[in-house]
Amino acid sequence: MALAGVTAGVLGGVAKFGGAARTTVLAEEGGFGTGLRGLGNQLKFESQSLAKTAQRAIAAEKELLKGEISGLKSSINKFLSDETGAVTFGKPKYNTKSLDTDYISEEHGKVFATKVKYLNDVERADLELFVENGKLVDTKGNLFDTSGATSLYTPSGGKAIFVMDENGRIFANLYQQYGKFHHSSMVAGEPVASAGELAVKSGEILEISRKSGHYQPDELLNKQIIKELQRRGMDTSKIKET
Amino acid sequence: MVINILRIPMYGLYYIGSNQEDFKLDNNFLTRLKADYNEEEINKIFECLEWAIQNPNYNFGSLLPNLPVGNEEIFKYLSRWYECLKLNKDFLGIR
Repeated sequence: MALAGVTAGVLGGVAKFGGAARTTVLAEEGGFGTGLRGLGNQLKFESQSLAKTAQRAIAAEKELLKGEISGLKSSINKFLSDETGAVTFGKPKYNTKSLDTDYISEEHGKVFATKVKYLNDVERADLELFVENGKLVDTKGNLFDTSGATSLYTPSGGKAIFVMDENGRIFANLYQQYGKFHHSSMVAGEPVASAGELAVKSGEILEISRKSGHYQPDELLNKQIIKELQRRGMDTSKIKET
Repeated sequence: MVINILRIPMYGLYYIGSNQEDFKLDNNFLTRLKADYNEEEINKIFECLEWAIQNPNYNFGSLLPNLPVGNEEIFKYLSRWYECLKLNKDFLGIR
């Protein structure tokens, strides 16, 4: 009983204090000096080893976090930049038009009998377009080009569908899949400040149309994307508006 | 039969409008159709098209009220779809 009590005391002491001094005191009290000192030393070694492993893991985690924070800082800077980003805080928001009521619940398959995909914020971010040096670029900084864009009704290609939200963020996709992917997909059914099709060659916008069955924008609504593009430094004088 | 699926072919009329002749139901169209929809979906579309050509007086416009064309043109357009799919049943996996 006494031995068990002392051993438990040693283990408890080491676990609680992690120190050699406390181990030694308790071991001598029980009269098992040498053996318990050995046990104490072993526990001390193991606890030090564990501490080192934990330190290494924490250091690795810190490095990972540093990388992520750096990426976030870069994204925030781009977001706030007047030159390349979509929004500067404090700028007025654009007027919007809601989704045509005929398409309510399309994401649940209640309109087309197929489910229309609604993108979340992360998925949508991949489709965002920016203006760099007066040209339209994608999230990777590549010049946007719609030569490869197709739909069932434009198999020869050439136009992407686009929307602009109330903050002036522009999103475009190179394909439209009826009953599965529409203008509404890019804003998850939320109102838009502009919508239609874009014809773009090597970052230069050739045409902006108002063709969107889901939003049916009027001329005034789609003037807003022209305004936003100008605000970001693009020369829009050669863009054909249809 | 869920007639709502007719909205898939009909939706193209937003883009085609009255210029139906410009819209070719060719090999490119068929390849794209097969890529965009699975066999079950294509069979459902075909089933509804079959019903549509037997009901020319149905108010197809009610399915997509803001289409820029009238019922007669919608029917003509759906008939073209039906003929195309019927001719290419094997390729599209229509039962």
